[in-house]
Amino acid sequence: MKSLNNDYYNPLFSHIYVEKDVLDHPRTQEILRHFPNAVVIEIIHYKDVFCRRGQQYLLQHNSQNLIIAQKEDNFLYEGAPVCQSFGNSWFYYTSCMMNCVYNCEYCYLKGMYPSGNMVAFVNLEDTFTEVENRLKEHELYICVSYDTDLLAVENIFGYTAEWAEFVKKHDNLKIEVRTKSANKRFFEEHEPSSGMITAFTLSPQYVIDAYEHKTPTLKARLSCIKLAIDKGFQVRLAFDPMIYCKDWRKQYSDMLKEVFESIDMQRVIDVSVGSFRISQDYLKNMRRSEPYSAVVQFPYENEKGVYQYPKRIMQEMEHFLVGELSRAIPAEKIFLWKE
Amino acid sequence: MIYIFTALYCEAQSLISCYHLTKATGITKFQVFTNEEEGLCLTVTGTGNIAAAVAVTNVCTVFGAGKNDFLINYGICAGKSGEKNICLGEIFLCNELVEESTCRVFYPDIIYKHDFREAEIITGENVAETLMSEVRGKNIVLYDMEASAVYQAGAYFFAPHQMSFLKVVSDYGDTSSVTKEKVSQLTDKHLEEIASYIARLRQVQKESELGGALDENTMKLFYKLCEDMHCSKVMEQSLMQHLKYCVLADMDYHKAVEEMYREEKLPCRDKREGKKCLEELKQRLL
Repeated sequence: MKSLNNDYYNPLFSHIYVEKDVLDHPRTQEILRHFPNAVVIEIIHYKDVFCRRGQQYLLQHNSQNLIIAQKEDNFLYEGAPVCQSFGNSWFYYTSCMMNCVYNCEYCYLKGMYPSGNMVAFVNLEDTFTEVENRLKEHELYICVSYDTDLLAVENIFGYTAEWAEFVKKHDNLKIEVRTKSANKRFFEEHEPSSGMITAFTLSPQYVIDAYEHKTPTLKARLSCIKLAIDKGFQVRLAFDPMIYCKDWRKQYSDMLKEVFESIDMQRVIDVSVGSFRISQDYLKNMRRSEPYSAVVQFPYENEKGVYQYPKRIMQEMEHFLVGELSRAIPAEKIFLWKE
Repeated sequence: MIYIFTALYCEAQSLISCYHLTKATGITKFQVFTNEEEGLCLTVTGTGNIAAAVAVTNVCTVFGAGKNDFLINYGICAGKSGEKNICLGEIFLCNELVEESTCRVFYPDIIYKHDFREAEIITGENVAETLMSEVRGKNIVLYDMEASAVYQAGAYFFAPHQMSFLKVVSDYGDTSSVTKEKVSQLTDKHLEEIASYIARLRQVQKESELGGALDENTMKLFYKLCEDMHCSKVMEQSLMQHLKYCVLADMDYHKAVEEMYREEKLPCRDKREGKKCLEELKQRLL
């Protein structure tokens, strides 16, 4: 369906489904203010729309709708084994939004969720309360932008700013905001804090063009990273997932050249490296729904329930990138994903 | 195929003549009209939930409705007077279908652009004389007798984005003035809008059919390699996945295969040799 003319589709958030209980919530009202022409449909529970049978993720993504809801439980999840913990022992993630406005072909969300529509939970305070309760017991490292890209939609939802304010009040809390966005406005308008790390995912422009639809260019991301660093924000670079292509060595070399020319690597707090890997169940779903995506149809190898590149390719790619990065940043700041 | 379901013949009349649909002879329980060239199949289901659900199930099974098809439920409905400027004769695309007897709610996906007003509809079992104003605390403005049943039966064949529910307001609950002629008139009035909506769905259909799986030549090569490598099921799957990737990533796999034939590594003598050969081919491809 990649070639389908965009003129056929309704625009982003043309329909907004709102749980009746949060219709009057101030955040709901603020979000709706951004979409005066949207058709607002009142619902009882977000799963009535999000979990319908037979939805087509990719098609829905072409005309993504929004579901505004209240999160009832599971405010914190333990970090998944396929995710990098960066040496933090209390590694959790939250899901105050589900799904992403970007459309990366290889994204695990396509295999994980039954719907391509986005869900925004407006009761952030309940997550904050849960975090505060845990903080009484021990420190926490929380990834707040895993199942979504908060910064990409910050101008509508403002959730990153709310997390940034929250983290300032707690010395033993560290959060990571992962993004592919180039949202300079956020960094211009907010003050940095030591507890917040912005992790920018970087890919060669070839990979961005081929697979990371609707995301900013490498150049735009680098320009935003430079601004964030100059403003004193803590920046992590995530070369994760690395995506194979026939001339991957050249593509990744070119990308690194551009990165090193644009960014003072000494001011980056750390970098992560990892080749693409995904749980077997998610890939199974994705292969069904994306039959024409090369990155999804790559003949990955199944290692204990996780699909990854054949060992030779994986090692070559990761060693190459780590080697190149070592020239610009101390080895202890390079985190290579390991099972 | 675009499957259209109406409850009454008079609701279907204008579509039948507009698209030159002719009566299908295979199905006897319902009146089914088709035009293969236009890719249209219209069924007159009869009124009520059961009739609608049975007709949808039967026709979709017989014709093998699937992922590139669409379903349209078209017909009249009652409107709630004085609510949201609901006018007699106005057409709506329903974005929420409520089943009166169970209070269950169904949401067709409104993905494609359209020119209709949207509204929610409640499907009841009787002709509406007094419209229910509140269901699950919601104010529903349209009332019919089939939509939620068509959705539920349709859901066995179609995804939520493939189903559209178009309803024309014929009355405010008093059906005494709703004659066959009036229904024909009302539905005929919206023929142009419906036709343009159908045309848009057709375009979507056409584009989604592009692309296909592996082309014939690649498939031929695949079968030849399977034979020449004495592939087991697992080997076949692995080979297929590699070829698929090469095609999608625009990589030249012919060269590697030809080289192996030239080097007489192919065809293989037995499965054991085939296994080795497949591993080597995979290495050469990636």
